[in-house]
Amino acid sequence: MRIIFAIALIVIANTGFAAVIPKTVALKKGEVLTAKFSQERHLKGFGSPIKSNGQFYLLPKKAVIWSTKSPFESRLTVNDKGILQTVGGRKTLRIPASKLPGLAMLQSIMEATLKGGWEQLESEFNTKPKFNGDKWSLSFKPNDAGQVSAIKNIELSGDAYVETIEIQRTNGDWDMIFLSQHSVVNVSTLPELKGYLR
Amino acid sequence: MKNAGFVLWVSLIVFSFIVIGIKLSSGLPLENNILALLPKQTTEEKWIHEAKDMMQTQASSRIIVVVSDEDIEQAQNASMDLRNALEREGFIHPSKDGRRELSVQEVGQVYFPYRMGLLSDQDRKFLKTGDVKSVYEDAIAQMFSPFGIADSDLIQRDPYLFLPRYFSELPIGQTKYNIVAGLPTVEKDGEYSFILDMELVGEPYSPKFQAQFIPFFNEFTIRLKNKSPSIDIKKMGAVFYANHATSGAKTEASRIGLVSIVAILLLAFFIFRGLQPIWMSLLAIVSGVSFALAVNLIIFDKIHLMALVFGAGLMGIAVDNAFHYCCERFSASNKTPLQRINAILPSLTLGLISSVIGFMTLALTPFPGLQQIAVFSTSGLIMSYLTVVFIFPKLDHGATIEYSAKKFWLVNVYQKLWSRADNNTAKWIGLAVISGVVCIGYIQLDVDDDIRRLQSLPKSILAEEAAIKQLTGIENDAQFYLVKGTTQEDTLITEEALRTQLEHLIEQNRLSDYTALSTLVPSAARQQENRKLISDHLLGDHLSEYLQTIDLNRTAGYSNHSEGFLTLEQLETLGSFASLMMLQIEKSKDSVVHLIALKGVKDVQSLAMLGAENDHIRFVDPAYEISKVLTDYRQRALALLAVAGVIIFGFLSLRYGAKRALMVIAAPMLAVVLTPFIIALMGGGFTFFNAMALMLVFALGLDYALFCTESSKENLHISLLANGLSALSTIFAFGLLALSQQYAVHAFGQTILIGIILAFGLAPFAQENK
Repeated sequence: MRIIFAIALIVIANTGFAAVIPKTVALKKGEVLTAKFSQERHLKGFGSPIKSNGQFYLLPKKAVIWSTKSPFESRLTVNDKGILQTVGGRKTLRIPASKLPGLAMLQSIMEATLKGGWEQLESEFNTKPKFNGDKWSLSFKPNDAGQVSAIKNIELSGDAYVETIEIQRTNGDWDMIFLSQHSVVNVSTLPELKGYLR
Repeated sequence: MKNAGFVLWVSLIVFSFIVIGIKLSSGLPLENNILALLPKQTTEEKWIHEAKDMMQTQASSRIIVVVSDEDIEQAQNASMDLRNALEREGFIHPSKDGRRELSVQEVGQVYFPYRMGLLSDQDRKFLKTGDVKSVYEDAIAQMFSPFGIADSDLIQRDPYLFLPRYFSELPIGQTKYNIVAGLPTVEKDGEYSFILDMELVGEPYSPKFQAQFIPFFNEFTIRLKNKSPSIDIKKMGAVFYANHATSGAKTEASRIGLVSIVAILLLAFFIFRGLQPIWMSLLAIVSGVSFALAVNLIIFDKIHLMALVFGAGLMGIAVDNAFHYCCERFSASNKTPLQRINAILPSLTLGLISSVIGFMTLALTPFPGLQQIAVFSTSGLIMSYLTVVFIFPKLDHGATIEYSAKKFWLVNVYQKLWSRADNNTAKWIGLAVISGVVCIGYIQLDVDDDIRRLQSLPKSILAEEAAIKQLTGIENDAQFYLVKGTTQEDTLITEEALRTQLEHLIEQNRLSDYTALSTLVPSAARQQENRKLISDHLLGDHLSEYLQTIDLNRTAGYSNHSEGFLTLEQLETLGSFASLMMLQIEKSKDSVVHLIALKGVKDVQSLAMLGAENDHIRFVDPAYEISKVLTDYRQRALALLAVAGVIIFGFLSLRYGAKRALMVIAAPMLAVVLTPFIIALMGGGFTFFNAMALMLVFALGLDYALFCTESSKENLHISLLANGLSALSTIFAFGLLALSQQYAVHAFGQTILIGIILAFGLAPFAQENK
């Protein structure tokens, strides 16, 4: 459940804010929002943070894809069928949508954010962004303990798009995700997304 | 002699009533399971039979009702009201929803101590082939995964992250619903649907139960809709189909039956100016059926419904005999009852012997249904023959009726037609027509006993069922496997071996998915094997090396895992697994039977072959099994019809010589052969039900031919009239069934209708004095 929640926030960060900040462009049909990401996972017991980087894709109404390039290639796809992780094209983890009741919620939030439904997001997450010039930040504390008990706090910040995400967990673990080089491109120009053209 | 016959008849009737009285004191032992028609030697073992019976009972007792509304409260209240009302009236078993569904995390806690023995299929494959690199990669990929599926607490105690991968394969959380107020609920497009999954207390196929349950259900749902007009109520379950079939059959039977009776009465009254033939026929039928039933009750434990229906149908011959007897009143030369019976005695006797020979061939097969039909028909025909020969003359007080050629002009036209047809041109035309019908009909002939096609399910109920399945995801194919062992462990081991083969079929796209208890809990043997695989390939130095690679402290590992094994019994009490536990269909001291549910079956043959040589595995495809029984019966019935034809031909040759015997048998045989092709030309198929009707066509048609053959030239018009009346009464009684909406009944009636018209039309073929 918490992965869904976190992904929902990423999606909101990248699309919902895009809708309220005048500089950004709403995604049209066939367009994909993509950005580079680098992630640090600070886990208890590990000598150093676990680092990875790759490319993030948001295909409206279809899927969110995290394509990790380093330390080795793997891909995490979230769509209406569920979550699928592959390593070098081989399936390593598949969680069908039926085991993730929150997936439908994620999709409705995606819809809302793509339509610029900021009011829905406000009521959904009960929070408001802070602005500082062109920059903004949003801090979120999950209030539904039953659903996201392991996540203590999430902080998002950016300007036109979300640039950093910090996820803090109740057990002391925390993740930092940095997003950069955002662009909106047509899906047909991305050979790695073959199969999502329709 | 005549008195001796009378005494014999009375004795047999008394005997029949006594036997029926005694045997039926505890109810008619009627068998309506179509699988009971299978030959005994292929009948399955007891455990399979019991498991299938239980499955059938469970499946047919289940009803699912979905109450939907945009207003969640209204939907919830209506569904609660409905369930409470059904429970209060004693229609459903009390709900067992008291148990709470566990969250995924809570289920994880139950599994966690046993994680060393729980490997996903893929991890097992890797470790069996020594591919530890892939295990490392998969674990590390999960750690790198954005938003961290695995946190440090889990990694610390399961550094290879076996449990998340095993968990993703578990058949839990596969339903689409959430629980609201203790009820499964689905939210879609702003509409809330509450799912009531209930088990009926009564027998869903019993018309008595249906008569109580259906009106209550309908009235209550209407009341709910009146109260909250926006709610929508959908339902599915065998009881709704059964009720539709019962009420449909009732309406049809009463309509068709009424038309038949009125038509036959009018016919008898028009011809004989009285109802004497009717009550004489009734006497012949009642005595024939009573004796036949008594004999069957003595020989067989249970009477199959099909034997009863078919056997009773054959009693139509008794009606024909009554018509032939009564038609003799038109004969100026036969004035006394004795003369009348003597005039038809040779035809009656030949008809009886031929039919008995024909039906006795059925008794030689191992098929219990055909044996019962043979016994029923033979004994019934003998009794009705005795009735005609010994009783009719005693009851007959009718005077001779003058035959009016004007009144029966059709008979004259028919007779003239045949007398003109006795030349070469007519024969060639006849042959050409027959060949044409056979050739074109053969091309269009569609032989198919698939029970799914033969069922005429109402579209409205099917649509509701489809909507419920789509909304709830409750969908398993009708096919399944049964797996048996002496212990739980034994059964799990057999199931695991079968699953390996099922995985191959999934890879080959012959099957989409399956649900088995061994995926929920591996056998202790497999858990032991998994532990060994892990400790051989991944613990000790391997683990140290791995922890160093990922820079995790050395305290991480599997030291706190349980030495015991996870068992099904540990999960039985948890609400989360209640629906899966239904896969355990038997658990006794020395026998445990599991069911493997299948989804997306694309290749039945491949599935049927799996485990075909293992006595502890059985693939069950109810629709296929029923269809197979019907196909076997159809083929057997047609083959026996041919054999009976040859034997009867031999018998008739003794009396008429080979050439004329061939002509006598040609008419009914032609009717039998041509009927399926004519039906094909009309766009109909050929099924088991058509084949069974053809047997009747042959038996009745042979009688028509014999009466024509035995008739003198002077009295031929009387035989033709009697044949005509017999054919009309048969068409009224059975042919009208062609109007039925039920496929089986329609096919039976259509075959009789066409077959009898042909048999009647062709009957004078053997008459030398046309």
